[in-house]
Amino acid sequence: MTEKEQLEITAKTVDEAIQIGLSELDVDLDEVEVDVLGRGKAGILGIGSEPARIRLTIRGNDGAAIAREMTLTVMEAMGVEVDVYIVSPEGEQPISLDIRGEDAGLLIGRQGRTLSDIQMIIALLVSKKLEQYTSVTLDVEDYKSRRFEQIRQVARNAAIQVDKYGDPVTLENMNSAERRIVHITLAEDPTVETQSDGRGSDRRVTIYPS
Amino acid sequence: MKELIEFIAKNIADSPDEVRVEEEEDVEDGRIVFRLFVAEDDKGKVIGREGRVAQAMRTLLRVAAAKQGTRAVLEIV
Repeated sequence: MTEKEQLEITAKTVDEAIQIGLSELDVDLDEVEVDVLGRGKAGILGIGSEPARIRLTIRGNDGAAIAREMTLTVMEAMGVEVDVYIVSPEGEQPISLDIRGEDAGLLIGRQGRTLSDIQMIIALLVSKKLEQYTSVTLDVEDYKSRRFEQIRQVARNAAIQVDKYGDPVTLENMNSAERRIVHITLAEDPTVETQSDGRGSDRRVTIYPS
Repeated sequence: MKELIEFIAKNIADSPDEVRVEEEEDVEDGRIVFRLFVAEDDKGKVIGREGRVAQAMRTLLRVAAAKQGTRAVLEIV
């Protein structure tokens, strides 16, 4: 890949940086992969503000472009106004997309359940279109990555409590991707063990002293 | 909303030509009722294991309806 096919942009917001990058590379959104290097902060009266930084990489046409197209069609049929960005590197699975825009907040739902349902439908449509099982993950304005970071924090804090007092701690109910984060986060911790119990949407992870 | 159900069902079904969506307003409570018809062999696909696909379609329909300030239900016939 030559230098010209990649570009880093700094701007006030992620969306603004993407717009600048697209016009500089003279490409459309479906032709690039977007890496958010820094989300940026508004600060107070300009104090403590941080610019948003992104990297755009020109990509070929692949499953991700089809997934993006499918997602846009579904969003349009739902009447929500959003943009869809490809986040995963070219040719890699899971295909990972980020939905951003005015109506993006409507797509998360309680504990991210609306987002999980949308993701399941999109994965089905893409798998059918490509005639092979394709893993697709959707995020809404980095909701999941922020939520996962929050869950890692909760898990670490709970593990410290368990180790200190010796009593098991049960976390709030989580979906499978979230529970997995807890298990992975604490797998390396020799002082605790984790186990999921309960059925369906009420499944919870309990952290036990080991 | 009708297009939403149609698009999803046609792209899940093996017989997209047999996908049909009827729309009817429930005069009593103002909800819009969508009836989805698919080929017999496609029923399992649009309902999904433990009804998860149908439930996901209902979630998307709910967001679409809320966006338009109305309520909608999906029936799979």
